[in-house]
Amino acid sequence: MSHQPPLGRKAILIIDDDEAVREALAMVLADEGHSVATAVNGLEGLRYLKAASERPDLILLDVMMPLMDGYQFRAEQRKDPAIASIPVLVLTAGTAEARLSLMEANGYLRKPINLLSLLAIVEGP
Amino acid sequence: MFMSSSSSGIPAVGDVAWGTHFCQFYHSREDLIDTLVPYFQEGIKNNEQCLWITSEPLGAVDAQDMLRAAVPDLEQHLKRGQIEILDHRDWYSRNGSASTEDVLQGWLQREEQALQGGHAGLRLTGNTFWLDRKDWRSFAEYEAMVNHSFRSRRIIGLCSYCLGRCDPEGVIDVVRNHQFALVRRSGDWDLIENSSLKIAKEELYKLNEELELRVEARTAALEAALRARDEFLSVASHELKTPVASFKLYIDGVGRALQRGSLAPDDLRRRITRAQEQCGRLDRLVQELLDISQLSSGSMPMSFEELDLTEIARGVAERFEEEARKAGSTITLTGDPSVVGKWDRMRLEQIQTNLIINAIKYAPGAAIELKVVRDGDRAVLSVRDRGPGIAPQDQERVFERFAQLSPNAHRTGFGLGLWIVRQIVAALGGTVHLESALGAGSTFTVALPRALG
Repeated sequence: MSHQPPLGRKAILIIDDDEAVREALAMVLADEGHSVATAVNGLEGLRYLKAASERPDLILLDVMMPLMDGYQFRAEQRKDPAIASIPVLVLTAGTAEARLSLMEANGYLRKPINLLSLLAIVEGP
Repeated sequence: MFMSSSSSGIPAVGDVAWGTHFCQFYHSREDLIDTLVPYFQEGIKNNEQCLWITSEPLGAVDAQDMLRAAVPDLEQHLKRGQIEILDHRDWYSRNGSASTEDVLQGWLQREEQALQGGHAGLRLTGNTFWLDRKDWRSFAEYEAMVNHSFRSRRIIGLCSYCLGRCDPEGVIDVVRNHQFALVRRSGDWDLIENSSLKIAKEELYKLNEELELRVEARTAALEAALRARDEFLSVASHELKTPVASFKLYIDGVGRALQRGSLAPDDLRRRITRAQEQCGRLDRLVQELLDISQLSSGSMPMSFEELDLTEIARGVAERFEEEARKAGSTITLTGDPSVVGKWDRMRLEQIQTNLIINAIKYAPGAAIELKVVRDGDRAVLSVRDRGPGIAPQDQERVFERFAQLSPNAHRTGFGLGLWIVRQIVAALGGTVHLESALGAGSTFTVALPRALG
């Protein structure tokens, strides 16, 4: 089996503490042929990235999570040159979003997420 | 305008409240001119009825001349009767003798006349130069009466005492019977406050300070409440949006897959089940919000019926068996096989549900022991976990509204479970206690009367 997904198909890491959100995201992305990995918080996401044999093409990142939240994850990610350049799409359900820009992510989507908007970003221009 | 104070005209004294009765110790005629002329000049200016009882060394004619120098139109005020300047013999002894009661009544009558005549109040002065040493005692009593009677009146009274004619004991009497005393010392006027006035002022100051502290504490409590509310809104928004987010993804995904015609019936069924679960989750959250709102407003409708607490505990334990298993926990039920009482079924289930959910959430991977026993006319329910425990300083806080301990804690629900438990238990006439130590797990014990009333 090839590790390289077919043309237009992406490897995506979902980092979200909510089991249902992780599963639903994984399901709709798999439906489109993308390969998906999941992590329950920033720490687990970071561990996955450091251990993975190949980098994902995109990270979907929740903000409010236990142990290591989205902000802390971004700070750690940007410190490590091996993973710093992986694009990040932030998915947020909170209200206090004035700080969001501090994450300097590649994109932001508000929950509940519009599936077509998500797929448009994932699949790129 | 009806002011509560008036300017005394004497710089060392400043403004005085109506009802002020004070005295001055003078050495000379010049001292009297120095205080009394500006005192009455101010009174005339303020539309007060003025009454100046004179004595040597500043007689009535002399006083009038001195005041005229400061108030050029004095004649008009005299003619209108706004000011009277009398010799002490014409005032204190006008009935042949100085009856203290008569003198006092005289002042009070003048005040009534002054107010009826449209004046702001009565400003007066008396001089005791004429007073005989043998009459000192009864005069001191009179001053004490005056001091008391003036307090509730629109009167300002200044009594002049010649220092050369007072013995030390007399000075003490005089000071005691006035709110404060003016003393001429090396050319300046000094103010000596009566000790009771001083004490009253200090009390007032202390009260004021206490009030300020209370206002500060209230303000801090309000600010904390506002912060807690904002935090709650943020958490509530996050909690409500999360199931909506997964629900919408499942449904949108199903729609897309159906369009493509690529969805097997089993897969469809599985996805619909997931979506339904998220609806249930949302429903529970909304119910919790309604409970919070109801409990906050203090209205909690109850319907009492005969129930078995053990049976209800068994039902709740079974309902959460699967969720506990997922968290690596087990739930065991011990105690009396049946504990009957009159309660509200939904509220009892809510108490147990909240305690068990907390144990699963905060003490995963450990045994949860549920125990129901009958203790006389009470039923006692305890939920024990073997989790990390709660530090002593946090044990009261866990029952407060919006009190999830760690800001980074894994949130499920609104963080109000224990607050809800405490509200319901209180409404059922019972108590809830927490026993816990770090590293030793936590035990929540609820004691309920088996029948209310």
